[in-house]
Amino acid sequence: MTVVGTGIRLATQLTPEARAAIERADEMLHVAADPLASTWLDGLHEHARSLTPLYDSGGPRLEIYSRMADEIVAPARAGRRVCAAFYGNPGVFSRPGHTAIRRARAEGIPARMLPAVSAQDCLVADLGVDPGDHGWLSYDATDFLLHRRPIDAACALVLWQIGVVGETGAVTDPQYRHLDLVAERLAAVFGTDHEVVVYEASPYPVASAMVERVRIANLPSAPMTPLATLYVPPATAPSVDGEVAVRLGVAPPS
Amino acid sequence: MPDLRGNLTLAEVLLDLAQQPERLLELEDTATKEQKIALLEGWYPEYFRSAGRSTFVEDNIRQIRVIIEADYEASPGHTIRIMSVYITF
Repeated sequence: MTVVGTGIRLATQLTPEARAAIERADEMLHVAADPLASTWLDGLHEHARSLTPLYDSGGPRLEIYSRMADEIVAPARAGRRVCAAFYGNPGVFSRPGHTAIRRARAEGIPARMLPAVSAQDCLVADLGVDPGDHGWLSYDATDFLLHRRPIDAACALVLWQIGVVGETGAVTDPQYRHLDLVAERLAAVFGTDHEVVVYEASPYPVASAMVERVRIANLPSAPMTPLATLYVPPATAPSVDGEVAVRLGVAPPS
Repeated sequence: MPDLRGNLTLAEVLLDLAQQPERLLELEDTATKEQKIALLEGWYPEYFRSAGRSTFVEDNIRQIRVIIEADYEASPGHTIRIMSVYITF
């Protein structure tokens, strides 16, 4: 059993090893972010089948993820080669792939996940930022608020699913509520004038990524999409621990 | 695939284009937006005859998404996909 990712941009970010896994499979199951990608995936394998209709039940999300994992493991249990394809990276903000692999391995079925291009990888390339420069905190936006996750004005921050803050189920038309809560929390550390980026990687070959730069004070009314990610650049330089600098034998910057 | 209804849809144009790396590279190597549109117009004249140039002039993923979803909505057997939310709490 193999779990692969299709990347974000339609058809162009599928790795050769992922394509080979799809072609070698007896059955191919997939979850795409939009109908166009779903059409493309249907065309990659004679026995391709979308798992997104499972969302239509409207049940609790964790149950839906569990049923997706069941659908993936069932043919493998019967001895068939299965490939499950998820948009983006199959292990990033995507629970069914991890669950399916754990269940398969627990039953002695060989299973592996192949890495792929995630939305964050596209963000790094499109915005020209490097997690190595300032450090990098990354949270789901709702999780960030609900658990008061720590943030640092000297460290970059990525908030996933900023367009669906507080949503607990499947949505067809996000209301973009609760952005005021995000802005409030960010302003306390970065200040209201700090510029942030509402970002969405482009899934289409002819279109650029969405890059909307707004001040934190204006975040509640910023242009938003259901798949948007928020990037908050650092606002200050990090402080140096002088004692550690001495012990490491590195000179602190003057 | 959406019902062709005698015309190429934007979804079909993008799907075809995405699977032709040489065309994508040619677009990347083309300097201006006007030249890019001219290339696309040469490759997909049927689409441009029916839909015009506005889609590509705007170059906006939100607008393209709306058009694609309308294409699918108009074709039998297709529904607009719901947004998946990853739950961490």
